[in-house]
Amino acid sequence: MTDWFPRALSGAFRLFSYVLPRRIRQESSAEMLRDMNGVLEARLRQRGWPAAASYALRAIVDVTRVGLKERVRVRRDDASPRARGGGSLRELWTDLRHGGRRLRRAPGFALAAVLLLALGIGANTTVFSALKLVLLSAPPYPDAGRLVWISLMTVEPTRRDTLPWSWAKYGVLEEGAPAALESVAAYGTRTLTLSGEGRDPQRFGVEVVTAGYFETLRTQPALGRAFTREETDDPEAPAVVILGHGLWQDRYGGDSGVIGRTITLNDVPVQVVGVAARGFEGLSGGARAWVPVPTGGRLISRFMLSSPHSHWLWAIGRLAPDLTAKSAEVRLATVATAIGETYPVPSKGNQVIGEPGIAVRPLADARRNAESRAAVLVLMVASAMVLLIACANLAGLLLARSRGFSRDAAVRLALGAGRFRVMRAALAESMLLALAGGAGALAIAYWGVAGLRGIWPDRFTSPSGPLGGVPLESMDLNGLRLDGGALAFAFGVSLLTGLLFGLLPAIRRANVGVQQALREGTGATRRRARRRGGPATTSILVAVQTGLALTLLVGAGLMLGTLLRLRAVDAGFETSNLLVMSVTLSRSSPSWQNPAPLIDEVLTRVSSVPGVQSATIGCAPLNGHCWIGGIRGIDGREEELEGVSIGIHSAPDRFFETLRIPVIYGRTFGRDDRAGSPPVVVLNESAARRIFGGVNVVGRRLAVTADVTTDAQAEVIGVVGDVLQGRLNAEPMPEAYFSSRQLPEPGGALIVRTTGEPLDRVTAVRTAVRAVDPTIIVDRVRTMESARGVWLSETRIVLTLLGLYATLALLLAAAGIWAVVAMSVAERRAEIGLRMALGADSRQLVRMVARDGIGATAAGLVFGGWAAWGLARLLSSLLFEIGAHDVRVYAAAALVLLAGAIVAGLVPARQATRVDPARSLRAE
Amino acid sequence: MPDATLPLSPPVFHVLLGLGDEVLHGYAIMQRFEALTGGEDQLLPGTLYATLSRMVEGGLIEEAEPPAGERSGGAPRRHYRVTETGRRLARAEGERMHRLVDIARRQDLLPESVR
Repeated sequence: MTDWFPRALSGAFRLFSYVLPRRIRQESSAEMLRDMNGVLEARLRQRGWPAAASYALRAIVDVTRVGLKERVRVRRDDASPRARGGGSLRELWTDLRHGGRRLRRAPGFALAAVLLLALGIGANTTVFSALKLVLLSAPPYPDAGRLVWISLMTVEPTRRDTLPWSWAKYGVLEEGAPAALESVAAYGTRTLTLSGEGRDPQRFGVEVVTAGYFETLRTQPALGRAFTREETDDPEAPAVVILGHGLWQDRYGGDSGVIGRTITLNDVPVQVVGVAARGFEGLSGGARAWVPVPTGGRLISRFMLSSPHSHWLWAIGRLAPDLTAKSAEVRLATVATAIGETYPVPSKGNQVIGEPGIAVRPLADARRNAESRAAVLVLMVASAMVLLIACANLAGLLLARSRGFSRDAAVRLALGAGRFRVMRAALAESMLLALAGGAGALAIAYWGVAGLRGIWPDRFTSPSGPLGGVPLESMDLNGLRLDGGALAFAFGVSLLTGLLFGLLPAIRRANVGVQQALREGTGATRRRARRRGGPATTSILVAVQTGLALTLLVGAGLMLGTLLRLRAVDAGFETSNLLVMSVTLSRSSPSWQNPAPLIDEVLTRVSSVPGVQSATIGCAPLNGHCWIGGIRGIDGREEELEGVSIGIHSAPDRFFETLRIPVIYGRTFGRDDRAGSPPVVVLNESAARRIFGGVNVVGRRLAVTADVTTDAQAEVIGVVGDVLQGRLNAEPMPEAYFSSRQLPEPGGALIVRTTGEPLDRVTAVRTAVRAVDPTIIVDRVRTMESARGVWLSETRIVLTLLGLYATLALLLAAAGIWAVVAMSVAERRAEIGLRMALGADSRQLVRMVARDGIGATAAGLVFGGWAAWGLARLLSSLLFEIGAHDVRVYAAAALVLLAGAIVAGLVPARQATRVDPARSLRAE
Repeated sequence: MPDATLPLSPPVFHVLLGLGDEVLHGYAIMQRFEALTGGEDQLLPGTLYATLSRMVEGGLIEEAEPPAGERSGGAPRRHYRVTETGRRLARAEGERMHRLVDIARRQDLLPESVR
C-alpha cells in the first residue's frame, strides 16, 4: 500500500473535523490531525489497510458526532445569553453573523435579492432627487413663496393664450397693482453686443427691465446702485446699464472703477451704474447685464416703447400680505377690464377675437412648465412601480426560501431556541440584504443622477402657446445632485422592505410546527404547506409584478409612439442638410442703416462655397420666433385684430427656395420688390385663413405692427405652406414674410443648404462671411436637424427611462413567473411521477404545471390594464397624436408580456416531463 | 461544568484513566488507554480533543510542562496532568462503578473469569 491511502483517509477525517466548533478546532486541530496520521500509519504498518480504513471510518463518524454535539452545546449556551451575562448587542451580532453565513451559503439568492433592492431603490433615489429639484425647490430669491407670475391672456371661447405684456399695457397693470401686490415689475430678454475697449466684440443675453425689478426680487447690487425711477420710466432718460457679476469679472477683472464708466452696447454709449449681486442671472437665468426699458428702446427698437401691441414684457409681482395668487387674480380682474377699455378689441363679423384677461400663479409653478412636471411625475410613478416590482420579487424569493428553511427553524426550536430568537435570526438575514441593497442603491443612484443630468435636455422647452417660449428660467438639471433627503429615504425604504418581507417569512418560520417540519419531506406535509397558501401568496406577488410590468410597457409604448410621430412631423420644409448660424452686423458698420447690399454680398459669397447649394438669411424655422406682431389693418381699413399674433419675417429672395417651402398661390419676392416700391407680403396658409378666412388671398392688403407698413398696407403677393417655427407638436402660427429689401434686418440666421454633411462646411462659410466684412459676428452654429432634435429631447428622455424601467420590469416579472412554475414542479414532483406512471403524456403535464404561472400572468394582465389606464392619463400631456388609451399599444404590450411569460413558464415546466416516476414515487 | 458531576461521561473517565499520575500529551493518552484496555477500547481523536478541551475548562485536568527528555521533533505538543479535583472525581467514579459491578456480580451478570 503506498502512502496515498493514509493521506486520503486523514484528508477525509480532516474534512469532517470541520464539524467541530471553531474554538475546539483552533485549539486542537493540528495536534488531532497529527495524532490521526500517527495512528493510521501505525495501524497500516501493524495490521494492514483494512484495519486502518476501519479505524479511519470510526474516527470520522466520531468526530462528526462530537462536533454536532459540541455545536448544540454552543447554541444552547448562546440561547440563554442572559444567564451567561451576554448583552443583546452580542446577540444581534451573533444573529447578523449567522445571517451572513447563511447568505454566503446561498450566493445566488443573496445576489438576486441585493440586486433587486439596489435597482428598485437606486432608481427611486435618482428620480426623487430630480423630483425634489423640479417640483419642490423654491426659486432662489428671498421670500420666494410670495412671488407671482402675472400673464396677460387672450381669452377666446375655445382657447386661452398667454401673451407677454406690451410696455403700454404693463403701465395699466402697474397702476392697478397696489390693489393686490406689494410690488410689480416686468422684464424682456434680448441680446446685445458689447464692443470697443480694443477687444473683440462680445454678444450676450440681457434683460430689459422696468422699475421695481430688483426690489421685487429683493436683490441688492453688489456695487453701485439700482436704476432710478427716471431711468426706468422717462423715454428720454440717458442710457444706463447694470453689469452682471460674471461679466464684470470676465471683462473688467472685477475693477470697481467701472462704475460711472461709459461702455459701448450695440454701438450706443451707455453708462455703467451698478454691478449685480454675485450669482444673480435674472429670472431668465442667463442675463449678463440689465438695462431699463428706455435704454432698451434706444439700443434695440423704439417699438419696444411706442407700440401698445408690441408684446415683449413678462410681469412678476410680490403678493401683498395675506393674499394668495388666486385672490390676487380676482383683484386684478379690473386691470384686464381697464386694458380692454384703453386698447379696445374691435368686434368684426365672424372673426374669433380674444378678450384680455389676467392670470396670476406662483412663480415656483410658472418656472416648471406642464411638460417637465408631467415628465417628472410620470418617472416618479414609474420608478415607484419598479420599486414595488423589486419588493414583490424579493418577497417571493424570501417566501420561497422560508419554505426551505422551516426545517432549519424547527431544528433550532427543538434545540431550545425561543420563537422570538428564531424570528429575529430570520429578520437579521433580511436586514443584511436590505443594507447591502441600500449600499448598492447608493451606487446606482450616484451613477443615475450623473446619467440623468447627462441626458436631460439643457432646458425643458417652454409652455406651448403662440409665443413659443417664455423666457423664464426653467428647470434644468444642472444643479441636480444626489439629494441627502432622497438618500435617507432610500435607506428607509430599504430597511422597511427588509423588515416587512423578512417578517412575513419569519413569522411563518416561527410558527412552523416543530414535529411537522422535522417530518417534512414527506409528501403529506408538503401538500399541507401548499394549502396553507405559500404558493398562492407567490402567485399574487407574480400577478402584481406582471401588472406593473404591463403598465410600464404601455407607458413606454405610448412614448415610443409619440417619438415616432414627432419624428415624422412635417416641419413644412426640408430640414436635412441645412446649416444654421447667427450673423450680426456691427452698428458701427456703414451697412447698418442699409444692410441689404451687404447681406446680398454675403449670400453670393456663401453660395459660391463648394458644397453649398444656396444660402439665405432670416429667422430660422424650428428655432423660435424672432419677432411677433399684431394686425393693424386689413384691406385698406385701419383695424386691429386683437388675439391674432403673427410672426414677422424679413426674407431675402431665395428664402423659400433655400428652405424648400412650397409656394401655394402667387409668387415670392423678385427684383422689382425694392425699397420704395409698393410694399408686398407673402403669407403662410395659416395667416391667410386666420386673417382673411381663405387660402387664395393674393391681392388682399394687410398692415402689421412693423416699420414697413406704417404708411401703406402691403399687398399679398403669394401664399406659402405652413412652417413650424417652434415646437413640433404645436399648431402652425400665422406668419408674414416681407422682402428684406423693404424690411431690412441687420442680421439674423444665416441658413445654408449644403450637398453633404452641413457641419463640414462651417469653416468655409465662416471664411466667406469674414471676407465680406470682418466685423460681422458669426456664432451659435448648429444644424437644422439638431434644432429639430431639441424638440424631441423631452420625449426621448421620458421614453429612455420608461423603456429602461419597462425592460427591467419585464425581466423581473418573467423571473417571478419562472419561479412560480419551477416551485410548482418541485412541489408536485411526486404527483407528476404518479401521473407519468399512470400514463399521462408530457404535454398534459406541461399544461398542468404551467397553469399556475399562466393564471398569475392573466390576473396580472387584468390588473395591469387597469393600472396602465391610470398612468396613461398622467402621460397624456406628453403624448402627441396618440391616444392615452390607444388599444394597439395596450395589445402590443400585453402580447410582449405574454410572450415573456410563456417563455419563462415553459422552461421549468418542461422539467416536469423529465421527472423519473420511479424515483419520485420512492421519495414519497 | 456539567460533566463534572457523577456519573462521569465515559470519555472523561477514559481520559482520567489514561492519564493516571503521569504528564502526557493527547496521542500518548490515546495509546495508553488502548494499551490499558488491551485494545478493546479506544479513544478516538475527535472525542479525545473535544473532551480534553472540556476537562481543562472544568478543572479536571490542567496543562503541564512536558517531562525532561520527552521532546520529540515537530511542533510542541500540549501535555496534561490530572488535577486534585480530577483525581477525586475519578476515585468517586471508580467507587460508583465498583458498587455497580458488585450488584452485577450478585445478580450473576459478570463473566466467569472475574467472578
